[in-house]
Amino acid sequence: MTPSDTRPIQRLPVEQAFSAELERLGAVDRGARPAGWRLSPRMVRAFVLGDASLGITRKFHGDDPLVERCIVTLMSNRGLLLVGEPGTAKTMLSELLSAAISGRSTCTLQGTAGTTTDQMLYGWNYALLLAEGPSPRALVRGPIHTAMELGTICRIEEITRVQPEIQDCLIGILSDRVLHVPELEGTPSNVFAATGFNVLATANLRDRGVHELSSALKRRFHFETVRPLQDKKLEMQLVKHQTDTLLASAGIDIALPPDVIDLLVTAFHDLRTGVTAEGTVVEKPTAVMSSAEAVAVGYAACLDAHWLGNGDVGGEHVVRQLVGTVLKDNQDDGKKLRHWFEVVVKSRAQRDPQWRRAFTVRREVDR
Amino acid sequence: MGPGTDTPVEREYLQELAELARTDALVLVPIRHHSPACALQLRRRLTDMRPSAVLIEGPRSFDRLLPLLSHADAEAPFAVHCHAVLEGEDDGQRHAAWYPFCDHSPELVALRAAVSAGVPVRFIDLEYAEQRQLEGTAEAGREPQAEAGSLMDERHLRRSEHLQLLARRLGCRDHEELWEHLFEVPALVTDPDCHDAQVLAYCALARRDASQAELAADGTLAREAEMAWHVRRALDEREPSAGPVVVVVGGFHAVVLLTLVKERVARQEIAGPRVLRHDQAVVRYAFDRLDRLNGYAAGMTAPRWQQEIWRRLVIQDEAGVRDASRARDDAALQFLADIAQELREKHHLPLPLPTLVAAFEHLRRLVALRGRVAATVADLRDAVGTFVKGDADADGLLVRAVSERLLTGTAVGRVPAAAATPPLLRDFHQRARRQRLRIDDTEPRALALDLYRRSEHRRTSRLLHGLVLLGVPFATKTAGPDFVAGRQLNRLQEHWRYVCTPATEASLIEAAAHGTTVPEAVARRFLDRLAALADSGQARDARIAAAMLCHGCVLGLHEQMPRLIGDLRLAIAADADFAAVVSAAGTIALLQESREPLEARSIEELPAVLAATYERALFLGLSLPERPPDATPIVQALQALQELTASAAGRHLDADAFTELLIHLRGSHRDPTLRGAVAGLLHNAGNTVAADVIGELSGSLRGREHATDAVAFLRGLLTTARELAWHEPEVLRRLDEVLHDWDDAEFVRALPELRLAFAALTPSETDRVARALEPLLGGEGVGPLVHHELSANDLRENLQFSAQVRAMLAADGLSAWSTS
Repeated sequence: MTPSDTRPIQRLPVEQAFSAELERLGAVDRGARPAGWRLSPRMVRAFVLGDASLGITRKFHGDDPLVERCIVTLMSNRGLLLVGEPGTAKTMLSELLSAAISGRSTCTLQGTAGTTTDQMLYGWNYALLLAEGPSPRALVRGPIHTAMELGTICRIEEITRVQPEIQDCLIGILSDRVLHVPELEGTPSNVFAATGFNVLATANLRDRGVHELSSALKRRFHFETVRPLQDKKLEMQLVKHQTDTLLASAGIDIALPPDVIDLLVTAFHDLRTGVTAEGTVVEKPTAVMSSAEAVAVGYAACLDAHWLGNGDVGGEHVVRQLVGTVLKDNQDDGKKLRHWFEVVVKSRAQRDPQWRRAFTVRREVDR
Repeated sequence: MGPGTDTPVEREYLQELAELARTDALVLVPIRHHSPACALQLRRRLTDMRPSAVLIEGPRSFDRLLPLLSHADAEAPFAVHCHAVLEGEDDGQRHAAWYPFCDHSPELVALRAAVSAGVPVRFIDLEYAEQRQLEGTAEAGREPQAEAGSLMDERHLRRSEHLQLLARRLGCRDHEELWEHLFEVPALVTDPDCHDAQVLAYCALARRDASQAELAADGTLAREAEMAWHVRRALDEREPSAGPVVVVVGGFHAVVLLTLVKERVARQEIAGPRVLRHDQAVVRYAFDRLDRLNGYAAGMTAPRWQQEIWRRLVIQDEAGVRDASRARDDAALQFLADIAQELREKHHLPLPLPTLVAAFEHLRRLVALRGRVAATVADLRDAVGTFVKGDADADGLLVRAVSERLLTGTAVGRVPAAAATPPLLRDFHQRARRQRLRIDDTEPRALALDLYRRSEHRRTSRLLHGLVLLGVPFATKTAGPDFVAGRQLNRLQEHWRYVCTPATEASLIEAAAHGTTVPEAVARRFLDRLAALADSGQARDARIAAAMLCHGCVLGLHEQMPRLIGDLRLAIAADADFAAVVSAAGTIALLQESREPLEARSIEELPAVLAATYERALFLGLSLPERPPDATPIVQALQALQELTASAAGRHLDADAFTELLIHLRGSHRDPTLRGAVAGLLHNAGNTVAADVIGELSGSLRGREHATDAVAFLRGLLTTARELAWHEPEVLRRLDEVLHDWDDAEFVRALPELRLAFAALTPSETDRVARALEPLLGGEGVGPLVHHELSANDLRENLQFSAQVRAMLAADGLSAWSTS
């Protein structure tokens, strides 16, 4: 993407979406900046956690000390590995930190089972390679190479999906902070990491054991566990804010009413923790019940009501989407959800009109 | 108007308050309990001052405990344990509370300084019982506490919304981190006046969030009125030329105390349920208990960390160091190293030196980012998190457990020998030490007691059993013989796990009413239990009476034996249940035979009691019910009686009388199972020859109307004399004949009884029976009885499969193939 590109795009990178905030923070920043950093650590903190006096919005909720520990780790000679359940905003946090520290969040590698060292470190433009032999011009720089040269944060998503042999390329880079390109002769064969370089990886706990990191690599990372939101009130605010944003960008003029948000978030809390607000113990489904999923369900419920209904979003819309979220591949999840309906939703339906609407579509579970 | 808005927090007000708190007549020192910073400022203040009196927040009657609290031999942590019983409450309900002291408790610093300078010290709060009375009127019918609470409850600080907001603004996760950030970290570089003014401001914020109604309901207002009254009196008594009255109270109360003193607020009359009993004692306390207690009551946690900070603060302060960061960062590094070492050595976690270096670097950077000059315990916990390589909620649990344990510490204090320790507790200490039990730390320990060979071990065992009876949480038996229930009697050793915690001592203090020594208290409790049994009518149960006698021996209550034996005789005379009386006889015989562990041989009356029980059993045996619903207990009792007559304890019993009973039963009783059992017993004792038994068996097999009754005799017989099944081929032959004559329906009806009849055989006995069957089957064996390699399902499937194959072969005209 080039800056002159004016086509509307779906999702701006963080540094562009919040460019005004970053500029403002840079302007008032009087603190010492670690070498290679665009902002001082406190301003990075303010960017992520918000600062009302500077008009900076809060972008990450629920665990401020975690953010502080992450910032401190990125200053050190260890990489940072964010682990946690899916949908706990690990990626968002990594983008925010990269944008604030390096001014760019796009130096990124998406880890997959097929990730190769070429994709991670460097490869070759074969036409040039054949024509000129190995030269810096023929070199195709991977995200690690680029980040080392520019002194920025390199983000690696889903690092545990990458094959262990490939992961281990990082060991030398994280400890010696130098990348060897043996094909090039002389000085260009050593790429020394510029100040400001570090690795910020994320890994999904559901993938534990897929490709567990070697202990040598583990030692070179500080691990931080990102947990789902514990505070229901906070989660309600967050779900409301994010669904409203999504709806606004889709140009849809409806909003989730407070009692429907309450229903949505309560339902997710019940199924995530296995204990309902009333203290009833229910079986937890294996499906991921993150806040991100809650937003997706809320948004989809609004779309349903807007395009297919009369625009009045209610419990039944939420439930239809919720069922799709929970019922993925595990047969038992259907039973668990049915039990939740019979035990929890039924009794709430007697007291609350939204839950009554939710209960009317309980047959959806049997689909 | 928000709640409590009558407590303004404007700057002028706070300045005025801080100035009023420091006059020639009065110095008000607002503190937080167990805060090293407050303790340090108080210590500084008292070094250059000569007060006329020191008043401390704490129940009035603690004055009496002063010599102990300030004694040179008293080592913190120790605590005053208070308990009270109010009218209308059950004596068993616990209403108890702790008032713990550490070296870094401002109250203890004040008390020690004052006593050593000869300044009078007084405690000025309501008595614990009075505080309970106030709560009783406010919260009638509330649940009794499961665990004793704290008299230094600081929940108003935790609940304050203002403080929560302030914590959020300053990037602290809760009130505890906020406090450490604002007060503990800069302690060395803050002067006492400034510190006190800030504490007042801090608490004034919290005070705004507590409504008057709430404070009246939980007794806070009454307590403050009481404290103000004492301050007023001390001011009135003070000579004009004397030093100031120093008042050490929680900052939350200090905010209003001066106004109350000035306005001469009246002392409140405490109404509410009458106090039946109340008491208090100075006891050793432990850091882990303090941590938990303060956790509930929103006090300062991590006591070993606080203690370490205090130690370093005092050294640096005396050396005139004015550097806030060194003491704390050094302490943090020390803890990081200790935690890493334990994880490495005890749990084999790979934590090389670079990891420790990285953790400390992490800590320093966090401290800088969070805008402090030195580390708080929250920063330390965050730095320890870098030891975790994985999911904090799985891989991190061990690291967290180890670090929390080290931050909490296991220190246990000491109280002076002269402590008004209740005699029961002193007696426990003496006995435990004499038995070489370790009671000076809170490490759990295992113990193996050789009951048969070591009299010292028997003594320990009795002490532990006694404490279990008293409900004192100290030791649990993990294995060993249970003489009372008659289980695992072949074990020679008792295995116990024990740990001495303040809860142990607290419950001994509360049990003090039962006696002055452990044996006395145990005896009292045991007698109470006997009385309760009598009240519930169970005293007439011979089985229970015998068990109590046995329990008395296990507890070493041999001096109670005459009474227990008297009870037992009465119970045996009153109990009309044959099986129960026989069981009691078995217990008595066991007691008589258990030479060393129970030391019951010396009880002279036992043989006579045993004889009486035996006779009673024989008497009851003559009038057994005609058709008992289940003959099994009676059969077992008869077997037990036969074993008794053959045992060492029963050698003086009249065995012939038992035989007569058996003959009587054979002649008169109608239950087939019982008759079979009797036949077997008579055969065992050599009173009938096998031929007679077999005749009886075949008579019963042939002569009965119902097949089930016929087999019941066999079942009874095999219960008491199962060797007949393989020793006497005739038994099986007769059975075989009868089975041949039965049609299928009859056989199926009898099958359950038949299975029961042979069910008691061991596998090797079953094999013997199978071999004994060979001649009957024309010399061929019955084949293997059990196919371990095949399950029932496998067998069924194989049979089905065979049938299919056979059918297919037949269809192809190849039936001949399947016969081989």
